[in-house]
Amino acid sequence: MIKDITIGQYFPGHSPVHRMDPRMKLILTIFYIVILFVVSNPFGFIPAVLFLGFAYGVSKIPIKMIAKSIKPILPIIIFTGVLNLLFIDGENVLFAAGPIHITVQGIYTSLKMALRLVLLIAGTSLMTYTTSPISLTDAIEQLLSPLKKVHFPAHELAMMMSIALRFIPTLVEETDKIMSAQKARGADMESGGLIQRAKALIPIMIPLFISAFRRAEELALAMECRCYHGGEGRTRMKQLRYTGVDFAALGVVTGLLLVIILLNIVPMPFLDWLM
Amino acid sequence: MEKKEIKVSDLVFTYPGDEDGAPGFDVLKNLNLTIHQGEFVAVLGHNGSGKSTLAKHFNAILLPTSGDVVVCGINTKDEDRIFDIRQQVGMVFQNPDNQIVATIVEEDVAFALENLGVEPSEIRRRVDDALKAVDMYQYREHAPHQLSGGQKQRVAIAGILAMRPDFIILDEPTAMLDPQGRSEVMRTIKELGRDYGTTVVLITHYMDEAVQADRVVVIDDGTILRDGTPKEVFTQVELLKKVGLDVPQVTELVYELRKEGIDLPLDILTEEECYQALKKLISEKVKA
Repeated sequence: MIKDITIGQYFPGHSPVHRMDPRMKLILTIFYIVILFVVSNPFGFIPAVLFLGFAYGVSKIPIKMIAKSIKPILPIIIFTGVLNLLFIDGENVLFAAGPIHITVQGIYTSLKMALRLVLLIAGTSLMTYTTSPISLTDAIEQLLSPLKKVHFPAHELAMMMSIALRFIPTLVEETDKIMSAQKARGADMESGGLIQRAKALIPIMIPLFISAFRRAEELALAMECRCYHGGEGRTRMKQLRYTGVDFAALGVVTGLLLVIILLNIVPMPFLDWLM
Repeated sequence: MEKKEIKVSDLVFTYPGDEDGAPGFDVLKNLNLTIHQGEFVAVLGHNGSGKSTLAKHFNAILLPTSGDVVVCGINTKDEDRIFDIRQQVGMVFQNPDNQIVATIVEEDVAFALENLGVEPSEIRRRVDDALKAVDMYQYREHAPHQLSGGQKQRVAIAGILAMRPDFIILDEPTAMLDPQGRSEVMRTIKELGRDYGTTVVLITHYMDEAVQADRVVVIDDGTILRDGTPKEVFTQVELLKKVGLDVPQVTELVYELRKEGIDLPLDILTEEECYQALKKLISEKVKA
């Protein structure tokens, strides 16, 4: 099996986007999603697409990665597209057969939704491409820490996530070993139907679980030996700090929002036939 | 100022019996031991002799059933000062995979200091120092799974070293490593004592590792069987064999040769010593 698995889809790099504070990246990603839903006329998508192209350009992530990230959700995009196409009512009917009628409005809405989904996935993927899972975890911890006042376990959550990330390669390696060991004893994992294959996984899962529990116990002991006592009074070696890049990015995204709002307000009577 | 030592007096530790009425099991029986500052102590014993159980008493992971363990003047039963004790007495375990917490080497080394609430700039400095001390500084941004076993174990040692403990307890740190990893880790351990004045307690069942210590403590069946310099301990070949322990290979060789009536000193522990003794013997024979 692959030993050097990359967790998530992080592409290490040193671009300004990579250097941004992960908290800002997280906030701006949410901001960007909201912006996509604010767009209400076709011209609004132009600045959004330009912004995305700009962001990909600055981060030096190849544009073809967009296609890769969209591929898994392509069925959903097509499905929603088709649904919108068939069931949106409108005045400009182009084609009708029984209960099905395709309207200009239907085409417009389904294209709009598809574009919106593509932009959404491409934008959020950019964040995971440029942010390592561990700094993302840090960002989540920091952003959720105000909730500690209402006893939300922000530190514990982040700790769990980072330990999970830490142990993924270890457990993958272990799974590999157990599989080889079971194969050496004649276990057959490649043939048979779905149920049979699922059953063949049992002799792999059980040893894996037992060893994971043993590891957890040892890890807990090692953590105790290193004075771990929860998030209270804990400091961090790497302090997250907003820098110029972060504020510049915030400026750009705010600008994007303003442009889109402006495009929404400006009356465009020549588009009425679409609405 | 208290003396920096670990003092174990009349230590008894019993694993409690279960609900079905199975009796408890005494692992440690009236054990007395003092670890002095600056020593390099090897604790030897076969599996189940209680050596790991003893180690876990040094930093209050386990508490005595009766008797006391006092670390630098603090009794391990004092719950309020448990983190003081654990900061003074660092512990490294057998499996490096199960003691590395973070996904980046330097973050893992910083873990203990973050827990102790040390200032970020100070953490940075101590992490760099600790990584340089175990010669892993160039790997500081690597992920643990990219490292070899010996390297991972050195990272684990750095994680303890960063706390600046007076004592480091290593519980069979080389048991899961390949020979190269073992020698890397042993080199690091010896440097700790020499360059940083850290007191090292090495729990092991490798004789060639124990030979390198200043003092060897042999534990059998929950009590101390022998306590002395490696030469004092390993010359007792028959006694060690009786409790299921080996002696270093060269000592064994000398022991067997002596049984055949060849006059060799028994206190030979290293290959070099053995080579010199045999060379001397042969050249004498040649002359005669």
